[in-house]
Amino acid sequence: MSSTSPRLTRRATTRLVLGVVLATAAIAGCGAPNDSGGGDAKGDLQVGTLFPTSGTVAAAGTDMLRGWRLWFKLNGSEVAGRKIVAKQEDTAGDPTVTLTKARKLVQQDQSKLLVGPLLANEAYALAGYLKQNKEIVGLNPVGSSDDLSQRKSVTNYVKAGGWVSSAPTHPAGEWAADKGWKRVITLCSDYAFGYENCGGFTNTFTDRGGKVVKQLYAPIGTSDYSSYLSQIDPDKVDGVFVQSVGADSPNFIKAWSDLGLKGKVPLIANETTFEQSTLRGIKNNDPVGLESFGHFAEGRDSRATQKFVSEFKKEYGALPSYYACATYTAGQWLTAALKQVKGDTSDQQTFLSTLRGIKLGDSCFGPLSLDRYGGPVGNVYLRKVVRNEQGELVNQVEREYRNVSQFWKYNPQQFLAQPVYSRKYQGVDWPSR
Amino acid sequence: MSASSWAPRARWIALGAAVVLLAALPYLVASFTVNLATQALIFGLFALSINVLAGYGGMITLGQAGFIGVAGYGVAILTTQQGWPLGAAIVGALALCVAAAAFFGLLLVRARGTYFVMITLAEGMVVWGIAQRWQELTGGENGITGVPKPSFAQEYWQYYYVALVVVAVCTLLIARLVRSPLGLSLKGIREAEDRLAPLGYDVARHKLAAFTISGFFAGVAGVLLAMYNSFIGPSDVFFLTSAEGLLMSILGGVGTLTGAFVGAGVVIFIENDVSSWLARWQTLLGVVFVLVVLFAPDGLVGAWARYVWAPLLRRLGAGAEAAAVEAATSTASAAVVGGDGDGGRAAVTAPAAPAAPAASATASRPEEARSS
Repeated sequence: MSSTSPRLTRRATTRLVLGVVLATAAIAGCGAPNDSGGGDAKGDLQVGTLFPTSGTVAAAGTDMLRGWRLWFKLNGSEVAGRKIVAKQEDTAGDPTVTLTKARKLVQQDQSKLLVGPLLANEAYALAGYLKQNKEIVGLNPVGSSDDLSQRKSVTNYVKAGGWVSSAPTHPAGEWAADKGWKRVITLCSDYAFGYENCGGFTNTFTDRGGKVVKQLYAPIGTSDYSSYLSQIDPDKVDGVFVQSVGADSPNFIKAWSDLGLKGKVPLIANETTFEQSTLRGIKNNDPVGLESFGHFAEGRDSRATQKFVSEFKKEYGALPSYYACATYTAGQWLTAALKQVKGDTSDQQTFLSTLRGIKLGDSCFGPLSLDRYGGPVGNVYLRKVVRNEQGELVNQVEREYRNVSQFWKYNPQQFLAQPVYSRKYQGVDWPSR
Repeated sequence: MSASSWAPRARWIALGAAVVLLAALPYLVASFTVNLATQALIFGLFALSINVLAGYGGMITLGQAGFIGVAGYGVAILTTQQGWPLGAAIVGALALCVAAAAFFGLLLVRARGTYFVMITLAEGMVVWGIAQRWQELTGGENGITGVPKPSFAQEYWQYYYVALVVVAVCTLLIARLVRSPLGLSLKGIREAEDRLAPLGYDVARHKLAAFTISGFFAGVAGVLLAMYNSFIGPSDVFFLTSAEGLLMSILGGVGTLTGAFVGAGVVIFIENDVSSWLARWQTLLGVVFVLVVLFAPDGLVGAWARYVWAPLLRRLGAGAEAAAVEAATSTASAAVVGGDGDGGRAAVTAPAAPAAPAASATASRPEEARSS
């Protein structure tokens, strides 16, 4: 049996190739197609939000959406003569989806601003997109990767209401040293956010002569922390620093109590371990009395914070997490910037420099501004989990650190000359003494 | 026989219209739709590479995204970290991909059915594991940003044309492959592997060649994807991407050439367009898939051939061709419904006759009958 009709196939091939080439040549002569740009500078301000409302971080992403919407519900979406129209697209916690949705928001919905996303890898992907599309402005209230405002910062991606992973843990290391801790074990999630949290603590703790005897890393999705906690000998350490995130946090909190380490070994945690989105779901008292360092404390005694907390509770029936405060502050930030430029976003440079120059006297976080590298400068709180009169678990402020920048007390140039915190580099031998 | 001359002419008219439509797309629709079309082309090529193995060769693969990884990361690393010019990086990445496909293929030549599937799954996930964990090389879960596009294709519509031409050329190459002796022996492997060896065919070598070629085309898709997103990350390499590619080719029609693109188009459209107004879009995708498997086991292209094209041919007076098309599709569904003799084979089978487009059977069958 012959190979089916070779003559037809060859003719078919030639015709098809010819067709495609001719068509392409004809098109090339036509020039660029008509493409609608990124909206005009006077009408509605189109904003695209990239919050992950599905996938593993759906709970946090939903809080982001709620915080954002709450600001505009309370303060109105008409600012300086512009109406802010927001469209939400779900990034599902995936960087490729983030890019696709970003393109959709810009090309189909004419977004001029993009707000979000959540995870570090999503944020890096979006930063890459923004770098290539300079006419779009990105606001990053949650993506805390150190390098996004350090070695890999992108001018049109602004940490409006944002933070830096290692910023709250730098003071934690000094605090531990002040308490007289000499030997510490760190336990962090085995990815960039974990390395940056542990790095901040380890860097400052070792500067004061402390010794991190062991660094444990648990992969995301760890349901059973016992294999890590069993490596902690109460007689051989003065304290433990822990960072956990998302669904891992309740697992850690449970294991810490169940294995009898609570009360026996002093613990200091990062923000996300005792985050409201975790605390909401805990019915027992395992987290009560435990301390952490973070840039948000829902129990903070300030009008801005308490107004936000009570309005959020009224609207959504739950206490807000820092994710909600972050996007709420992003709304506040954008509103302030629009007022300063009197609603005129036509000059990208002016609008960007205004955004980068915003100084909030107070917000649900506290006072907030950006340094010249685009890194947030604001308060860091030593917090303790308590159960309030309504029976809710909240983070109360024990101590306030003001004007904390991403470089802590280090010289920025020297700090940036070092690599970003990673599994290999935790600042143990830096600065050299 | 003027009636039967209508059939091939109608097919060429349809094909010509499709070419013109694809070429003129950026002038007809909004930029976002052009972007979706670019993605559909890239994933269509990816699904087609799976089709070559699964549809024509009967070898289901669940690790094809590994080749997106090798080629995509190859291009990304060579350009952003090693400073290679883009052209050289693409060549290097594809060479690496072919080497990986040959290596993985060697592990597969003696495997059949379920074992074949499991090994491909493992191979794909090995690549994912490297992408996810070898932070210094691949950026870990952050992936690699800043992958350049060709200097002449910086605009979204220019890149669309690049993708269109590349995918068109690859599709034509695959079409030639499928009709070549190697392609026919692939069908032999699918239908009755045990009978080929005594006939003197080196089955292992044919399988290896098919796997390597299929991996190459998946690598081309990977290069196109990395440049399109200017980014490559572990999720592009994950098992779900492989599964999605298989799903696209089944949806469109396993064993067809156009089926891969139809399936890719449907999935991309639901994922991107429908998802913005329907929160349960994944449910919709699942329902579509189940309906296709139940009522159109030859995929959407097969259903089109049977329920639209054949009646149309009959209307045009080409009754013989219409019957041939229907015979082709019913043989296909018989193969699916009846299952196959070899218990170790994977559950999904392919239509017995190649159909690319489905109506090509109409023109070739009379010639086949005459020449054989």
